[in-house]
Amino acid sequence: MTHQHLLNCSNKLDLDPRFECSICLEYLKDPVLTSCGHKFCTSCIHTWMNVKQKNYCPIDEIILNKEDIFVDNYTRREILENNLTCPYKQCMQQLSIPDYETHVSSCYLKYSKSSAEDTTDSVVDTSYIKSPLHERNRQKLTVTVFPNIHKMQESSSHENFVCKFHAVGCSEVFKSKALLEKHYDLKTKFHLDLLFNQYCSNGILSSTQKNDSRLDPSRRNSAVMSGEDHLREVVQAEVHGSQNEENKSRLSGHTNGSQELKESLVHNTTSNANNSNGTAQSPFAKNQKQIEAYLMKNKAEESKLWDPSKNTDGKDSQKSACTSCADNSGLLKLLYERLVLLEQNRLELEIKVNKLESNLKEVGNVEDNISLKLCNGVYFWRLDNFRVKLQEMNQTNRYFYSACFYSSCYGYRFCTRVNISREDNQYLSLFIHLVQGEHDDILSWPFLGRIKFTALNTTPEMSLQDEVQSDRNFDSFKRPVNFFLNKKAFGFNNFIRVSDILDPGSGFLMEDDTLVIRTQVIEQSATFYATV
Amino acid sequence: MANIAAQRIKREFKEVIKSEEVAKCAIKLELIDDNYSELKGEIAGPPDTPYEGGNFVLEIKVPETYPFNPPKVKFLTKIWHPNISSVTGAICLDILKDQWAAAMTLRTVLLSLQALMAAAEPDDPQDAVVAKQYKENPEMFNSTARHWTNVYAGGPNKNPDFDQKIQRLTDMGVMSHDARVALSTYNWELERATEAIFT
Repeated sequence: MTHQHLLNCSNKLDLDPRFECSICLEYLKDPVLTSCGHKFCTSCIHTWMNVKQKNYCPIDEIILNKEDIFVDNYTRREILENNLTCPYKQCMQQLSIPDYETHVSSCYLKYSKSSAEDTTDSVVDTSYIKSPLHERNRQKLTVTVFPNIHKMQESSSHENFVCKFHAVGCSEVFKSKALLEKHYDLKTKFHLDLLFNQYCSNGILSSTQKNDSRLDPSRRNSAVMSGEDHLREVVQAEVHGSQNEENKSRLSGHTNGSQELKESLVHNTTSNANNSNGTAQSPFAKNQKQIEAYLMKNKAEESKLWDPSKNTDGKDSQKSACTSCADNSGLLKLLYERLVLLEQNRLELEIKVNKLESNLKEVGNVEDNISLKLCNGVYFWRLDNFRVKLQEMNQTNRYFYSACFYSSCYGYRFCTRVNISREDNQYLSLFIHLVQGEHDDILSWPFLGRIKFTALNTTPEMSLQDEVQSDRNFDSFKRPVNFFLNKKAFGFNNFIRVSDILDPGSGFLMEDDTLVIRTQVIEQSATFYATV
Repeated sequence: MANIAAQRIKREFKEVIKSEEVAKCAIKLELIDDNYSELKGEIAGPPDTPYEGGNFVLEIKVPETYPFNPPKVKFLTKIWHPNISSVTGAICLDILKDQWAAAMTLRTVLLSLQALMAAAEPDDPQDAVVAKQYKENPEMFNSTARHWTNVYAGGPNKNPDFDQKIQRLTDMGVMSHDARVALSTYNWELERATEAIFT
């Protein structure tokens, strides 16, 4: 391993010594100040003092006690307020010292071609050694040894996607469209800043930019383009328009461009309104109206300013050039607003999608419910992992309840329960509970009818079946009013021997250790009120 | 290795690389393994000492508890010095033991070692033989140390007298290093050295 390599590995920043802990040599985390005037991270100085009970300052060996160490919030604030700029070109992020290293090591520009090239070039540069801020890994180091090969490979195997804001100073090139899209998403502010700068410098242009400046108008109006793309295209056209130097054509080009932009804004906002399907929230709609109003006002103003009859003498045209400048900043303001609008729209859609997703889930639940409702009183309860459940029942006296099912479409609602019999723990009890249902109010109470319990067996003749007739005098068949389910159950305390179920030859357990219990509820006829 | 130790070594490494001592070729630091636990140090013999012109290689092992415990440092280059074992290269220096402080760095360690070479502490010796010679016969000590520097650390000062005596012993089948140790121990008296080797 060489020195060079180690330097390359490091994405550590050169800290102001004031903010450096002389124990860990990193920035001071939870700084403390000693009575002898030295600063350390809290954890560092405490670890130091705990190792072999060293009770002296690591710098000047003055004896320190716990009470000689003070929390240094002043330095903590200073550290937080000290902002650094990400070393990758065009990232321009302002970072506090604690965020710096995490950001730099994950800055997406690290892998973008242009910054990679920047670093490639600077390897031989000794100034780089003085500020080794760029994180590089071994791979990149080997790349730097053969920079030409690296470049050749890149150009031959990849189509390059140039940022559309190239003309105003964004020199990013991407290997895939996805990366380019990501770049657009992340760098919107940066691009707008570039645009703004371009506007402020008021169109000093290179000869190459002149030629490709105007975009095909049909493409500009293309409805296929997504809202944001469309906006970008138009903005770019706008930029190029303002770059035309011929006075008259520049001005007219400019008006065309801005006119179109505004139209597209109006178009987009209205289409958004349509898209939002009537659910759009009022602030959003209000915002839209404001913008439209603003646009209308601007248009009116503009038509006043750009009245051709007044635009004949030189003085007037000068004046209009100035107003165009002011108009540009207004335009940028509009763009910002548009951005906020789109962001809001996106958020709304996101919320909507989430809502739909939860709805979908609910629908799934409803489907389950329907099958329980339309089972016509026959319910198959699959007790899977029966041995595990049995163990639990034995150890904790747990009751297992089935899902709730209806005796008929508008009938009574029941659920079944199993547990180890309280009378004889060799037996499994099987009960049925009445549960509050949707139609309890139209049903006659108490429930009258028969209930059939069957523990299914792989050999049908061996299935264990028991049947009971409901009894008017039993509380178990009364309507559950105060609780979700009628606490009094009805059924068999000693329904089936546990050993019978577990006996591998008995056939009560299905292949995957599942016991299936069929419950059939047969309502007596004329259970409904006479009015029905 | 504990993260803090590795992190610190990384930073210290940078510090050493950028330091002016490196620029003056007084100290040097190299990594041996990828996890920053083992390094190779090099220090130039300080001027106006018998070690002048020599280049001394050090083995530096960084414990996991670094910087709360000192790094383990020893000389790989053979050296004739009261505080450094002529056999193992072990160093007797307080800051590498109980006087270590967490604010010290590899750079300060290397510089301290350089200072130790310039100013030996014969009253706290690592090598009693050398210390005795240092105290009783400083002239002899200086020329012996200079000879060792010449042989092992690439120092410029040859001593034909010493070389001849070693040659006499190697002719008898003695390894040159063993011969040098025996002769150095007995103040380059050939008879006594021979006696010590062959008895």
